[in-house]
Amino acid sequence: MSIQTLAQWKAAQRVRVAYTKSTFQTTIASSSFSSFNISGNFATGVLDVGNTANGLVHTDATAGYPSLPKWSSSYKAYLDRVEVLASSGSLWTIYDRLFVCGAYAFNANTTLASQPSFSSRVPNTNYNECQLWCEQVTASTGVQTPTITYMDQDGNTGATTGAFGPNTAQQIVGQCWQMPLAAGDSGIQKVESVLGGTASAGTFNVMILRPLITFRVLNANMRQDIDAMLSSLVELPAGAALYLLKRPDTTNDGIPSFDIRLAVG
Amino acid sequence: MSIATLDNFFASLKQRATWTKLVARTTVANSPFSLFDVAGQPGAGTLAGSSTAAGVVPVDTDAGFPLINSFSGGGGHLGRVEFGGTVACRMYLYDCLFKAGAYSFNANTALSGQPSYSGRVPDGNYNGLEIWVETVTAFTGNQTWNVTYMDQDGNTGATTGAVGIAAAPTVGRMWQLPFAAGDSGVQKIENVLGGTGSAGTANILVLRPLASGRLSAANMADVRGIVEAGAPVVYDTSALYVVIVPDSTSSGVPYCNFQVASL
Repeated sequence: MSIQTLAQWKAAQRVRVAYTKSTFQTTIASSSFSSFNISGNFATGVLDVGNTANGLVHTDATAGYPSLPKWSSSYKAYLDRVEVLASSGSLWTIYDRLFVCGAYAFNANTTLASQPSFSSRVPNTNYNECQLWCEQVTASTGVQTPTITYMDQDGNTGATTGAFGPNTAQQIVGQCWQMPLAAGDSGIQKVESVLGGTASAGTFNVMILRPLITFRVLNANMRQDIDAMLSSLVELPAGAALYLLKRPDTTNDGIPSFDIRLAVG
Repeated sequence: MSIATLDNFFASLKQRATWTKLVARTTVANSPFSLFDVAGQPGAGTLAGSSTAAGVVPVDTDAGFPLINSFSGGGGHLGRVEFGGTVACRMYLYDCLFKAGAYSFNANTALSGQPSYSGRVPDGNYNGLEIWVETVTAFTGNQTWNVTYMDQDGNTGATTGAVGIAAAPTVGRMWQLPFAAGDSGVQKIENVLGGTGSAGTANILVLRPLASGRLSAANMADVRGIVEAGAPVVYDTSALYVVIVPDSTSSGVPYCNFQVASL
């Protein structure tokens, strides 16, 4: 089944997923940050995912992601509503973290092999939706500028990002940055190799993210609702590893408290 | 088949396309800029057009435009759009229907054999299509352009007059050209005439507006659902193109993510 009509949406089962963090994190204003290793209402994750050779496909059962209610494989789940509160003005995006590998040393030169597939988590096999990001695990000295070789959205191998890092003096723990794709590319299927860059210390992960919804907490302690028409009922595959990136306005990041409701039908 | 009911929307296939730029461009406050050639996702495009003699109809598979997977029936709809960025700005989302260039500052080119973009104009309604200049290499002097075009009703020989921005345009800077009195759209570009600059190149574009948004401060974001977005028609070949108008002298690092809903 899937939700095909307004009546089916109204009749769909609702399930709730809470996402709360309880500790402040040092950030850089206007830079993206992961809260994966910050304590909250579910098991705290470990930034260093511990696999550089193949990478991993995390699920909601992996520490660091909220556990999702189980639904029958004959049903589909959709992002139905998100209630958002945070303690500072900030920009948030909820992703399904499809793939992660690392942590790589600043001077890594690693060709991956036997990467696990995350195809079951890409609705309609639309790899155009998938983005390539890096996540700093230990602080860099200088700007880390990795080059990632990848398989593009259509299955062509050997595409490269070029060396790229964020526009900051160095990367601090948890800082994330999106990698640009080669001309003609709009998405990614697989990470093939990871080449370190110009930093002289530090480690980082490489990850493939599927964005679900982006929203803004206007000012400190503001609340916002994203309803079904705004979320547009984005499909959430079973086992999705919900992963949040924040872009705080200041160096004092917001503590989020999100109430995510799924419609299952 | 197009989305005609709310139930159709619930049942529609929804695909998300990403447009994110990862490097800031130096801009001029309150002036429109293209980021087509800036690194990001999709990968950077080539600013200079590939044909001055006839122009081209860009499609989603051209480098620089987000890919849209094929769908049956031809017409999809913009089901949702998310704007955001690191600087205060306005953002405009278009379907880029036609691109001709890059023309040198002193060009005087009568186009012929122009490819038709009628397949990307819903209901054959050319009203509301816009003519824009996109700077490819910086100009010396106050460059003007005078474009002769076929209007929305098929009348030939209409002209915009020589119009510039009273400054030397920098790379990526854009401006819209005005229609002749009585005109409200464009079917074809017929002639491109350079003007008062002494160096530099530019493209001439025909754009179909789809959505716009405002970021009132750095790191703001805006989400439009299908109702707010108005569900404009988008094709699986549409060349989705973003123009940014920053409040200050940097484009910042913007994104514009969109969802195409189709049956």
